Order: sequence, then structure tokens, then C-alpha cells
Amino acid sequence: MSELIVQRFEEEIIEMLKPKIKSVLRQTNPQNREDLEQELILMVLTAIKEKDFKQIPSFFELMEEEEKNKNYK
Amino acid sequence: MQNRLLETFLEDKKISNLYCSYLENSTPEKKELIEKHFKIHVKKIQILSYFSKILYFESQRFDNKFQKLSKKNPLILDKDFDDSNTSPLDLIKSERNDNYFENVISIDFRKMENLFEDEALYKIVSNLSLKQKEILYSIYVRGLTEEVVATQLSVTKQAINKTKNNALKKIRQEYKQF
Repeated sequence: MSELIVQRFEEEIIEMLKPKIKSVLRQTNPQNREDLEQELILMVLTAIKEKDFKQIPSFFELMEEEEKNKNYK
Repeated sequence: MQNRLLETFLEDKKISNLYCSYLENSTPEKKELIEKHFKIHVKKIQILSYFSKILYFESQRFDNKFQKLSKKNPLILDKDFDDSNTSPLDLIKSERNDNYFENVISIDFRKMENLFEDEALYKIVSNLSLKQKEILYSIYVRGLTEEVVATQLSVTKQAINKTKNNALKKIRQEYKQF
């Protein structure tokens, strides 16, 4: 993925997680909410960069499986 | 469609169009493009599902950390310590203590001559009257103004000034003779 796509991807993820982050901010008192928000966003960004998620079979492999299941029925 | 992942992926109009065109006319470029979009889609979903669980716990942990910290370092002065009735406020030194300077400079003004290393000065100062010593000590050692000394000794400012000048004059004269 090129730099620009990565950036857009990150922005999209943050945008999608915003409501969740906002709701979770109520876990702490009002003075610390801004700090917590920053902390969580940072966490998300580092996770996008560094965390290894489970490898998932490619699209066409999944489609093939899907076909098989259909035929099986 | 049974696989939720594929379902959500193909919900996107652009993707489904791309897939249809691929089915009609399959080229390696189109296949690659679809795989690329699919990879991004999968990662997005993985991250979202991961954080929808994690964020809550992380925020709680964050709050715990802050509560612990503020318990250790309270900012409130009149709040009692855990196990006693004393508050931090009681332990702060008052700056309005009149004896404060006396504690810092422990030399008694009656023995003001001890401040001098010069033998001549020592002799001269030890010969000064108590009143003179007290005034010189207050002004030059403790750094008070003449006005403050006047109110402390309950005499007029002019009297203090006169005594001070006389004492200095005496010291100067006698020092010349040595």
C-alpha cells in the first residue's frame, strides 16, 4: 500500500471508531477525557501499523468455498 | 451468500460492479485489484471488531491509572491524610511568622561582634551599646528597613536613623585610630 492509501485508510478507521471512542470516554472524569481520547487514537494508529492480524484466505479462495457449499446443498 | 465477510464486501456497488465485469471478462489486473480491495476490507473489519472490544477496557485502565496517581499525589490541601487527622495544609510553614528571621540567622544581636573577623572591628563593635547593636543588626544583618525597626522598638523612625548614624560614625572614627 502506498503512503497516501495508508493515510486514507487510517483516517477512515479513525472516523469509523469515533463514535465508539466518544462513548467510551465516559469511563473517566471530564478533566481527563481529552487525554484519553488522544491516547486511544494513538493506540489505534499504532495497532494499524504494527499489529499482525490473522491471515485470511484471499477473496477468490473464499468464493470457491462458497460455490462448493452451494453445490453441496 | 453465507460468508458474512464476502457479503459485506460485495455490498459495495463499486466492488460488485468490478466483480461482475471480472466475471464477464477476466483479466489478471482486475483480479489483482479485487484482491487488493478485499484485503483492505478485511483489515478494516478486523481492526473494527478488535477495537470495539478493546477500547472499553483500555479506557477503564486509563481511568484507574489516573485515580491511583491522584490518590498518591493529592492536589487538595485541606483533605486529610488516609490514617490521621492532619491535612497537608497544616504542614505548610506560615510566612507571617515574626520570628522567622531569628530562626534563620541564629546569632544573637547582643553578640554581634562575633560576626567580624577583623580584630579592630570586633573590639569596636563589642564596645557599642546594646541599643546601637540591636539597630545595626536589624538593619544590616536581618535586612529590615528603618521603618520596620522603628515600629518593632516602638520609637520614631528619626530616632532609629540618628542612632544608626551615630553608631556608624563612632565605628568609622575608632577604626581610623587603629
